[in-house]
Amino acid sequence: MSFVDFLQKLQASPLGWTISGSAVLFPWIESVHVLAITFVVGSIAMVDLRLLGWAGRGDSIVRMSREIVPWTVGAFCIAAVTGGLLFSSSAVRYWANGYFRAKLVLLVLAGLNMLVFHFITGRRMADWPTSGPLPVAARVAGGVSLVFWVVIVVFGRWVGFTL
Amino acid sequence: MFVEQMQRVSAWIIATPASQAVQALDGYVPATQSVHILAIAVVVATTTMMNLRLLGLMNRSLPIAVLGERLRRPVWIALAVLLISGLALLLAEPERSLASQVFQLKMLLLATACVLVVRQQKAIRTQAPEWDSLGAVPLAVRVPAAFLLGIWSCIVFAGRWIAYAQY
Repeated sequence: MSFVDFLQKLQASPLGWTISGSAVLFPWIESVHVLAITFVVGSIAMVDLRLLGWAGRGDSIVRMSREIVPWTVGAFCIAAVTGGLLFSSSAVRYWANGYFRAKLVLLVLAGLNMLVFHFITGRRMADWPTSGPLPVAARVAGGVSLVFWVVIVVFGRWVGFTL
Repeated sequence: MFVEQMQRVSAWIIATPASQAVQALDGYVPATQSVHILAIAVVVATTTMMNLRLLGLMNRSLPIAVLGERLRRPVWIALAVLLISGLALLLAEPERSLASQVFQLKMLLLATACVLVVRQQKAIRTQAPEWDSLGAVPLAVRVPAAFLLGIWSCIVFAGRWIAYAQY
């Protein structure tokens, strides 16, 4: 079975069929998807701007990682599940869309950037100054993340216009 | 409400040279919508953090006075970007919104949210140090905070539903 066969099966499954066959399910799921994304992007941007030193300079990255990031992860899970549901309604068409694929690649890259930050760059974040500039690697991580997430939103919007 | 009047206003806007010009621009609507969504992301993240903080659920180690001071301006800057990008969208597709009851409801919710945010920010500016030292936030502040969480969510939902509602 090829991957496209699998996508065919997915959109013909009771799940995919129920969503595509309903007049209201898709917009409701999409609304939850958008709401979750707004929180994900907005809260990540706060951490990124702090890493860059452009905002919240009096705040510590340790505190932000502990008190903000868990909420971001929760919202991301909601966005991922609702995104998966939306995908299942028309899997073959989404997969054929270049912006959709580029968005998936960017999501993976944004995730890798976070993992590198979590396990390598930010390993000693407890030693970082609470105020003032952070190490260059931390600032780069913040800048890269900000760009990734902005482009993810833009591509997400473009998918809706190019399907 | 006022469907006929709104349709007439829309017809007038569509015929203006400015509207004609942006309608001819490739990618104008998705690009403007992207800006609109990024701005609402700032509004949702900042207001959710403030409201959850007032409810004692998030950012608990940060004094309300400090968080309030930090988030006060970004909300209004983002709302200004939302207003401008929203007007830019209206210019290209006026009828889609103006004649839509979902859009009208969204504007009503937005006005309510703005009033509540102004009141909340005023209360934070004058009383937050007291709440921080007491370790408690009055019910009269927590109830509107809970409402605001719901109102902003409804605003995002309504925004998405404009695309689907037929009236």
